[in-house]
Amino acid sequence: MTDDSVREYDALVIGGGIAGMESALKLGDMGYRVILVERDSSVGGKMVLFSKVFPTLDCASCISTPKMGAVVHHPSVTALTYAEVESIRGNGKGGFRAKIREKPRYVDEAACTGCRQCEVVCNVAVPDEFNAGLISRRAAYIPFPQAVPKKAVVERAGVSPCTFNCPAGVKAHGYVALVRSGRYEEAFNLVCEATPLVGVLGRACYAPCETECTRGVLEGPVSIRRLKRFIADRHYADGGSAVEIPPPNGKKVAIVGSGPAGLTAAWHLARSGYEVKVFEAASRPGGMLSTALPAFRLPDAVVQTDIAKIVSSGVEIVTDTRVEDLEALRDMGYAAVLVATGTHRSTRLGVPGEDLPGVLKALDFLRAARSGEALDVRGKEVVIVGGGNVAIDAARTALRLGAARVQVVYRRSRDEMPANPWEIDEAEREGVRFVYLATPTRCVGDGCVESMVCQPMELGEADESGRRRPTPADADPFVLDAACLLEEPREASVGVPDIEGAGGFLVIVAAGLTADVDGLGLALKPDGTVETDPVTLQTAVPYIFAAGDVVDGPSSIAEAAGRGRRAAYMINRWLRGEELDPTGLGDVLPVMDKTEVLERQESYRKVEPWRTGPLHTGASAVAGPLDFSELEPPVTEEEALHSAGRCLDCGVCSECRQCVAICPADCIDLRMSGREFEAEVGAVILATGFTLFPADAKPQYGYGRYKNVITGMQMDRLLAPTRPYNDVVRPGDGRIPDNIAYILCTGSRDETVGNPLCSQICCMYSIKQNQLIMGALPLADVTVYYMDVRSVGKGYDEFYEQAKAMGAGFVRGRISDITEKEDGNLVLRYEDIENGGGMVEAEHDLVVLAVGVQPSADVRSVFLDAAPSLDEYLYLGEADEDLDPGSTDMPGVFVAGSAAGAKDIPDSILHAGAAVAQAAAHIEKGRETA
Amino acid sequence: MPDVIHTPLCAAGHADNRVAGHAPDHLADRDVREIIRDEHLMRRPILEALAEGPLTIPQIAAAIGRPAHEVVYWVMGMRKYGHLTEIKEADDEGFYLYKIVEKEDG
Ligand SMILES: Cc1cc2nc3c(=O)[nH]c(=O)nc-3n(C[C@H](O)[C@H](O)[C@H](O)COP(=O)(O)OP(=O)(O)OC[C@H]3O[C@@H](n4cnc5c(N)ncnc54)[C@H](O)[C@@H]3O)c2cc1C
Ligand code: SF4
Ligand code: SF4
Ligand code: SF4
Repeated sequence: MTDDSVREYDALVIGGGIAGMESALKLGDMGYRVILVERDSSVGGKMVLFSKVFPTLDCASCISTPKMGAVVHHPSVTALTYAEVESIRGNGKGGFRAKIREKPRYVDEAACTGCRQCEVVCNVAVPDEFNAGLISRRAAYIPFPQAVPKKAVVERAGVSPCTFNCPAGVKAHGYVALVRSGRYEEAFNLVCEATPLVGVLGRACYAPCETECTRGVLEGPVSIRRLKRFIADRHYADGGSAVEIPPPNGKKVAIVGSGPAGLTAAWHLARSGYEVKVFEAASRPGGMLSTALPAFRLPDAVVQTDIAKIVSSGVEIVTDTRVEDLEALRDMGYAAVLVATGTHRSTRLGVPGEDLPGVLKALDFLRAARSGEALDVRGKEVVIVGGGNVAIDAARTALRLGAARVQVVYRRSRDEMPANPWEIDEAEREGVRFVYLATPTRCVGDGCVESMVCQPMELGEADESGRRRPTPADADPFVLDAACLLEEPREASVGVPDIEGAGGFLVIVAAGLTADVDGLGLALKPDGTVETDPVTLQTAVPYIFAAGDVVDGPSSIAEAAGRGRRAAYMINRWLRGEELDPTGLGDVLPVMDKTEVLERQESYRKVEPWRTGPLHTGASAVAGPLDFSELEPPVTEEEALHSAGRCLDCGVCSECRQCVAICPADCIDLRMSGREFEAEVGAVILATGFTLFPADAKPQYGYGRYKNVITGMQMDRLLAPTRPYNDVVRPGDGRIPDNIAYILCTGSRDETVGNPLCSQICCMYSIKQNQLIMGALPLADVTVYYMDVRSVGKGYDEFYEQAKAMGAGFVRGRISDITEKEDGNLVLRYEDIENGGGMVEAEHDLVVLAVGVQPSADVRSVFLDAAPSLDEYLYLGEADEDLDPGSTDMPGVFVAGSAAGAKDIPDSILHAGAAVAQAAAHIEKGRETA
Repeated sequence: MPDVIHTPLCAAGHADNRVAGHAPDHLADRDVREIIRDEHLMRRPILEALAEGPLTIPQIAAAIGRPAHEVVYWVMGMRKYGHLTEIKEADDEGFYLYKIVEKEDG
């Protein structure tokens, strides 16, 4: 969302740490209008996270929080958290034009009470940056207990690829995360928010989510589809649950066709209060689910259970009722009609002999097999024409009915086959043979089909579908017939009525399907499917909508369900007189980039997908007679947890919606968008602070590898009143340490890591921590390894002496390396400078690296024209540190605090004072010249 | 194949210095983010182990068959979100015992 009005301020302060807050407060006190922009969701910077401050040992959060409160409540200061300055450019009047973006919190800041219930219920755990990675936080989180504002934020990095690619609109990542937490019923309900066909999709969905799953880049995708099967099986095994039916809204909607599109639409409309009646021509509801998909992939009981759930939501389904007049429905009081009749007309081969007995349509064949009036194909030679999933299903069904041999004839090669590769594999394993690059030219027979003549093909240029177009090859036609029948017919598993008039050779045509809606008076597209508005699914007749394969041509269960959901959404809006705007259906964020997800970790422990059942066994052939019982084995809880545990939480928030459901203030909105606006400012103060030296850049100290080597920042968190653990304990095993080592100057005054500077603060924060440790753990020994202790500042040397007097040992020695013992203790090797310089070893049970500070000058990138210069150490440069502190080499741009170089808290506050004075002078000068 | 997959893509690493979440090239260890991600998965086995009575972190680690340093992340996370709590005093070895907090939502 962009706000077009330009706001005006005297000063823009970037960064809400102690220097930024101080700058904003002082300018505000002088009467200037200030806007402060902080990237994190709370002001306070690093200071509020410390235990105590040196040398006074005042509680850091106690002295920070009044300033934090003051800055957000100051009448002259607008403090924006969770916001970023996108760009700054000169305005030609000595000031600047800044573009500022408030990131969406997905939480209504005004309404949130900070109760934390969203955090507690959230299903995604990530490292807590506010606790230096020592513990987890949640995707929904309040950064720390003293946060100002104390408001929750939901971290949404993007839409997880699985969710983004689900055509049905299922929050795939959400239900995977819920399964991981053992919340199976919630997972089931989340799928139902998109479609009630949970059991069906859990078995027969083509799972485009898995094709795009980021884990697929590693060992293989998360078994997202099977997890859906697991939650459906669980739900129904536990007796299901009653569907909440809303009070009727008095309006009726008719749905023609009870396939996935019609059923999903019916479910949503019923849950919006409509009286919904589904008219089905066949004798059983379910569309292709009940008539075409073979039972070994989708058992009938599963379809009927899902349908029963829909019926329990108040939907009425009438079968054996073919609708031929849509207007009549209108006359019966239906305010809107949805046509969801699928594609039930088979495409003809267009070759001579096609109407001979023994040439069957695949859909008729499958329907007969599915309804138990199975056909006698025992001992017969069966040829299937086509290369889609229908062809494969027909082939596998024919095998199960006892065919002697089944061959699939396809005009392109295997690579171009529209059927899913795993279906082709399974068919091959079961014994189906494939004849590629051949097309029938004639069916031949006397009274019934006896043979089929095929023309060999070759592949030419790509056609509009992107697949290479087959053209007749320069080769002789060949004949397929019943010559190679097996002597003993295979065992058939079901009843076997004769196929009328057929001989020993059968042809099953699976050459395509299209809509069969001739009598309904709807405008059709050239391919025979129904013409609708592609977005609203409304036909030319306003009260008639159409969805599913009848509009899109043969697609998939998930796509049809997704279109049914869209149709329901649009019908609801239309009946309420609202604009047919699809915004509420889609996602507000782009899909998560997989590379970005994978880059979050340096390494991944290999966790293979769970291998199970005939689908995954890789067995070369299926032993014993095939039957129609379900092929895929059920999902055990162990498998489900293993699979869900492989999810990488790509988008961070999983959209499981548990927080939305629990929030007592009803303030979480996962569809919230951010806000951008422009501001005219007279001066800019950069108070973006510093970064800490990455301790793993000194590999000889083992940080990140040795469990009990931590950084000074981590120790400060362990000592803080809001500490992540219950006490100062070792991260390696939770034991209270009793022999702690400090290594000063980690990453400071160290040319090997490119930082010759003293960090000014590490000696003093280490000495502070020494004193606090000796207070908290009276039995612990503390040894500080140093080259030089710098305690320059008021009371600093006394503070150092005090630590020594309390018992902290100071050893002058340079640590060369550390090794870890089996019990997690650490052996430090160092040059013992005070005793002749020999190498000495010492064992400790916890090592604290007093990491130094580094410049963090990336704020320069927001300046679109000129940017302030850096000094030789890459901190933001001051025009003259001694005589002109706080001003950069750019008029109107000032720097406050440690952004200009390492500083402790008192120095940062002092420096902010200088920057404030400089900025005020600049603003005043601007006023004079205006 | 090795049991660890390295991301050749990973260049970032230290974007936010407050995250200590990057365990470098080391075959035996899991990335901190990966360990932490398992917290919800590990909640049940940990609570099952504690159902018998309070345990220290090494005892929980032994009961669920996972390394103690990973258990620290999970136990502390579960403590933060109210699933378990420590018994006041540490034992003679310097270990705290953790016990289940009884509440409705497991
Ligand atoms: C053999 C086969 C296997 C498949 N396997 C899979 C799979 O494994 N996974 C997958 O995702 N997809 C699969 N599909 C595709 C999937 O089944 C379809 O994309 C999906 O069923 C389309 O849903 P629909 O609601 O649009 O239409 P349909 O499921 O066809 O439902 C339409 C219903 O409308 C009824 N009807 C038609 N005209 C009228 C009328 N005038 N009055 C009343 N009722 C009428 C029909 O009888 C039918 O019951 C398969 C398709 C086939 C044919
Ligand atoms: S549950 Fe709601 S009110 Fe409570 S902290 Fe979360 S968003 Fe705020
Ligand atoms: S939707 Fe789920 S994962 Fe996302 S923040 Fe809410 S509870 Fe956490
Ligand atoms: S890793 Fe998880 S969130 Fe990412 S695509 Fe796979 S299932 Fe979805």
